Amino acid sequence: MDPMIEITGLSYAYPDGKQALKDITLAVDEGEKIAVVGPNGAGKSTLILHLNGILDSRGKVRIGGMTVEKKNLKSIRSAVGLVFQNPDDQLFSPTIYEDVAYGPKYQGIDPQKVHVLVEKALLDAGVSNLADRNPYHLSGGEKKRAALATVLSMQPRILVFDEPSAGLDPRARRELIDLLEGMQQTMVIATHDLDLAARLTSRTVVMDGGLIAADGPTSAILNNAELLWAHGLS
Amino acid sequence: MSHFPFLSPLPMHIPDGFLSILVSILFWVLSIIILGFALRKTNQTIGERQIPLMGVLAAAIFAGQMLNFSITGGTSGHLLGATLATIILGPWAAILVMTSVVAVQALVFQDGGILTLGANIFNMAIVGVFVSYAVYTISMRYLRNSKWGTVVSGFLAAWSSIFIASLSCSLQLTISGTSPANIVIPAMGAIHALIGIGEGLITTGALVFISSARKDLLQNAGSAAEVSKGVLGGGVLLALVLTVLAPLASSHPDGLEWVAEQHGFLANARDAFYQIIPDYIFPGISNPALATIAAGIMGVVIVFGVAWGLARVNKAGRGQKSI
Amino acid sequence: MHEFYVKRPSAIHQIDARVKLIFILVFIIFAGLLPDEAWAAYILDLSLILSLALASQVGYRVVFKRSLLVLPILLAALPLIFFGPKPHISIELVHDIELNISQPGSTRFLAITVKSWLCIQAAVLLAATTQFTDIVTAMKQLRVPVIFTSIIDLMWRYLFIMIEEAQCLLRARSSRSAHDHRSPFNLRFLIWQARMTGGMAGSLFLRSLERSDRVYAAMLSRGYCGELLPAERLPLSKENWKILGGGIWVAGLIFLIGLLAGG
Repeated sequence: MDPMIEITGLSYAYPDGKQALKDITLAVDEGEKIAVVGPNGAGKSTLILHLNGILDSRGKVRIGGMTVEKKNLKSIRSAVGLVFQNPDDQLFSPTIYEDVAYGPKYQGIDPQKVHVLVEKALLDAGVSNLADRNPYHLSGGEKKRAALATVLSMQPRILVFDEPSAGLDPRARRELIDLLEGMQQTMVIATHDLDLAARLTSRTVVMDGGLIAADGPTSAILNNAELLWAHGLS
Repeated sequence: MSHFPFLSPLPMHIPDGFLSILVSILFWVLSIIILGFALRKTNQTIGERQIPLMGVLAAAIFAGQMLNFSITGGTSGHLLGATLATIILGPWAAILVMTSVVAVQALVFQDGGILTLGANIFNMAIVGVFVSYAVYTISMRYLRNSKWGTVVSGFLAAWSSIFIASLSCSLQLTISGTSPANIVIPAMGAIHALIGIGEGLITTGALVFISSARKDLLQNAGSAAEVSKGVLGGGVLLALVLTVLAPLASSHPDGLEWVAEQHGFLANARDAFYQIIPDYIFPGISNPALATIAAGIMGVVIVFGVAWGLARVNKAGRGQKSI
Repeated sequence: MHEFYVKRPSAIHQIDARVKLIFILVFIIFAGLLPDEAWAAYILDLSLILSLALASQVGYRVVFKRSLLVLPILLAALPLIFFGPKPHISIELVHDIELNISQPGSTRFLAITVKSWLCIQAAVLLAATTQFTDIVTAMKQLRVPVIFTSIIDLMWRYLFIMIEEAQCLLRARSSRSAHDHRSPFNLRFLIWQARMTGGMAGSLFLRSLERSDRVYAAMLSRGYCGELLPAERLPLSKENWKILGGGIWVAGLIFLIGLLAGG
């Protein structure tokens, strides 16, 4: 059976010349939850942006059997829910409700169904009571969960997170981890938070300098002190 | 920050009541026509990229208008931002952005009136942008290769945009009969000649900062390749018309009297019409007495009527959330 | 720093924003069309405002305070008193110093004062009883082009973040400025200040440009493809139509009285 996410020999250089990814090969099966760890500048965020076609991967990435290219972008973006590091960038509508409704509306779903999807996403993310609020007034944890709701409403099969626990206080972080534990989707989580990786994922990929340095069961990787130290993770 | 009402620093937002209804509507029509044009133009050239860019930049301009520096004890220099918007976004997108800023200022912060919004949009968004573009483009044509090109052009464009927009504003006030031409035009002109210097300095400061960090952002404006002839022409025309008209009006109020007279003529005609109505409705009864009594009765009826109506709506609305 | 909306469980708050917007516009137009000396109508308009302020549970004090914003701008019309058309009244101030007061000019000035004051109170009431997002929805329903409402939506969302950033910049500047504001006018310092402020503006703009890049990425991720979706059609309820009709009727009535009394 086709892997859910299939990356074959992906390289990427930014316009200013910086080589961010060097020949990355990675496969993720359906239902798997993997962590992508590594120091700043390792290429984690760059890799993530290829998963839903924001950066052009020139055919090297396949999602659910579909190549990530212009003609498939609509389906790809419905299938891959990307939660960015800074929720303020992701909550761009005047109210949380409108933000969560944005995705389904652009999917062309009709208004009544949109409402149902929005209510469900708000509920699943635990932010039903915040629907009418302006994102500005929310706490960090609330914003994070609201941002999650905005992608959940599109019913993605894959959830991708860029530093999900960054900037959250301990309680908010705990609540987020509890929330994610209960979710069934395939997950790719780029993070510095090794404890979060340990709790949520069964497999960890270590990136450094645009390359994959290690790929194995989470417990094995996280217990390998030398490995962690060598790649700036401790 | 406290709840104190946020007042725009520039004395160019005209409140309702200061322009005659005729002038207000005239400038609404004018602005809508030009905005329609701007919409069509941006639809043609707009990438999908532009909407988030315009929206977030509009927020920055709005917030940027809060940045000030004190000139003397009471006054301070501020930023309108039309020139910066024009240089970064190009003229048509800048018009849309400035219009949004001015509109929100009126609707949410009561900075400028709602009926006079058309005139305010004309002054700040349209004249401000057109003149900025014209001056910047022409200046850059001569200074393109100079190291100081951007800075000098930016200063001149910013100053001109403020000064000429103020001329437009004072002419509107004059035609409405709110302020005598020989006072308001020189007064506003002088004040804004000074304020314009502040705008110029802040604009150049911003341009220097941006060009040191992201030179690519300033490349699109002023480049020979894509000069928008329409805006260039429009800007030059506006600048010329206003700078000629204003001093003319101010020193020869007789000339403007013709306009005022026409307008006054209309006002007189209107008053005559009003005279007819009471006579027609209540022939033979002297107006003032009737009016006072009628007013008294009507007044009581109105106030009670409103309260009663609202109570009914309140009852109906209770327990029902409106969307 | 936020919008002026005052949340209350009143009927006025529940009225559709479109109705309120149109009514305010009608109010302003009628007020503007009144003859200068329609004092009776002005009083009635004021009592209408007062009733609305009370009915909406917002209270008149709050409306009054905010309406004072219009005062400084009256300076623009002040010259009318002295430079308006004849007939003139001469007031002798001291020996040989006479002040010429124009009667029609003074009437005009008073009319402008009252009218603008009434209009701004109406606008304040609108803002106090209507959330801004509802005003934007009303604009969308009233066929304002979707580019404008999209820009305004985004602007509204990021405005407060930007204002906070601007305040941070101001605070950082003032903690580094030891300048004595009572010291005499110094041109070089002034120019330096202006350039510093410009740098702050530039920084604000740059950050907003970078943010717009990230917002764009977020929008793309959720299916944005350049086309803006039109708003859903929400027809106005019968109740709201009646309220609009009633409001226009009352305003029209006051206008008629103004004609009777002020002619």
